[in-house]
Amino acid sequence: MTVKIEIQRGSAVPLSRRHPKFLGQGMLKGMEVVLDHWFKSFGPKLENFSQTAGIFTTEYPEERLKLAEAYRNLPILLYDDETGQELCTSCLQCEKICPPQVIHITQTKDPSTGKLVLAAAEFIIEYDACMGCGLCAEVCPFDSIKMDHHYELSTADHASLTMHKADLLRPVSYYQSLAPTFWEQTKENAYKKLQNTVKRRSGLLGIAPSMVGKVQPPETKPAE
Amino acid sequence: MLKTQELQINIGPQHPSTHGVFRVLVTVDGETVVDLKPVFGYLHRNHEQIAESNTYLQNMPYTDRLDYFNSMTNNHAYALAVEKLAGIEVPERAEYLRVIMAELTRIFNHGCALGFLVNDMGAWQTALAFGIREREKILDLFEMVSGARMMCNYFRFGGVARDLPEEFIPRLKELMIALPSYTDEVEKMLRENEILLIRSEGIGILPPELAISYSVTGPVLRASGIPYDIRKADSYSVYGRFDFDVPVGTVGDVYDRFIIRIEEMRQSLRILTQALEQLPDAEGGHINPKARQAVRPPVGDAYGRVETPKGELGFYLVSDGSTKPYRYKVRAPSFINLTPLADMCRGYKVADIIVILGSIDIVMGEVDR
Repeated sequence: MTVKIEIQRGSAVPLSRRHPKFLGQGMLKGMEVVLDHWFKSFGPKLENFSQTAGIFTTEYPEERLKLAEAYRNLPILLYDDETGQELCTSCLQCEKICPPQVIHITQTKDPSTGKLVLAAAEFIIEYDACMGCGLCAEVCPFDSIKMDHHYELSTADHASLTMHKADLLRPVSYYQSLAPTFWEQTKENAYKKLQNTVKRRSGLLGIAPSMVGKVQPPETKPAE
Repeated sequence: MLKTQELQINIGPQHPSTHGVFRVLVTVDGETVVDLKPVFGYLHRNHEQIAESNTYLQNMPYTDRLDYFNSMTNNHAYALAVEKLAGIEVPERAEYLRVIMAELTRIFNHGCALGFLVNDMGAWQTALAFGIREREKILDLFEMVSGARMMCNYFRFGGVARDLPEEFIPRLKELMIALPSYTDEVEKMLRENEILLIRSEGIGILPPELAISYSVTGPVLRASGIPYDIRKADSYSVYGRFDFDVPVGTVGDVYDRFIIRIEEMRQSLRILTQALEQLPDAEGGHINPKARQAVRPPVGDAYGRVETPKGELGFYLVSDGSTKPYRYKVRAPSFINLTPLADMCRGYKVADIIVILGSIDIVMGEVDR
């Protein structure tokens, strides 16, 4: 059967079938490669990607690879170091985009006026079902939700993997230490938006629980 | 006269040689395979139905989990289908980034496929370790750009999620020194190996007519002698700009399927070299800025397909004008390449089944979906 398929910029190359000239030649050739690697395995560790022989194993708990800045594991929430204000405004963008639907946000109501405040009352992420795709961090317009680099999360306590807001909150400086260049790119925008958000918050609403008592709440602004 | 009878045996569903949860029901006469029935579905996880209840973008991370070895090419096929459906244009730089990721994927997939095939023949781990070594380097690069090693979720409609970090190109150039010597090494180590020749030559022959009638694609089809490569036949992305050859087999046995992967790695390296030379600078942007919002394609349907390392992966999408696909169908290469298994195995020995199965290079995540 002949099948004619036009191939542009290249051609169909039939594979050549090579056979060893004498019995054992092929195996000897293979042994040469393996032996070469065996000798080199006593040498130094691989320094860069261009080397193909030597030791390339990382002895994990003792040695750790440096993680890339873009590395993503599971999501965390950010709050400002100084004022303790959370960056999250509970806009629900992440809840909507989350493919396995593991983010659950409760919006805050101002107790005095009953109106919605730009802050999350409760923010739950089910870490056990999270697939770590990073879409929530990508859509977040306030740069509040980011992907953590912490990967040693194994636990015997399944229920503890449902993370509440207090478990998720990290200071901005923590994220900055993980991904300095990424934070540099988004810093200005994030703080600008945070300032606007803070204007529409009052009292302790929107302040990270761990920072309550340590920071001065902003002066309560009269209701408009 | 000795009284003999046919015997039915099960290989799998949990067996290290079946590359996942896959059952082969074999009827044997002594050592010879009389008939064989592949049984799959043990890893079914309702992928298509879930996708129909998700928005278009939400499906992107799910496509990573089809063929969990080659998440980049899976993303590519899905992104192509949605872009076709919604008429989204992709900036040139993004196209090149996509090609670079897809070809890197092909190289490590073929490297590991060779390793697993040799594993199945009994040469435990040596060849595989070579493949895994190069794969680790490539996965480091993937982690650098996308944040994850295997579930990359890197492609977006109209481009890619983020541009390359600074250290990527120098690292890739280092890797481009290592990969040719790796392919040469694998070839020297295994191509003329007598044991490999005995185990693979003339075993599991898939004639071209049969391959076409089973709609087999990828290296398995090309090993049967048909130069069908979607990168050439239905050129997508910027593949039309690169010079590369399509290696084809002459016999269609396991040995052809083995050496075709070595040759394809070489061709991928050629594409990579050219793509790196032609890569436009970052000014053009890595994503079409208009396409970032939630996609709401017009009513209609589209089929996007790419040449993944395993064959033709296609996504057929039907849109009813809403933000969710009305119908979402995956044409998975592993699944379709697996269907002629019975015809390939009939008449050979029981031990050959494992080798033939290994030579198809399947991933059960894609077979069962």
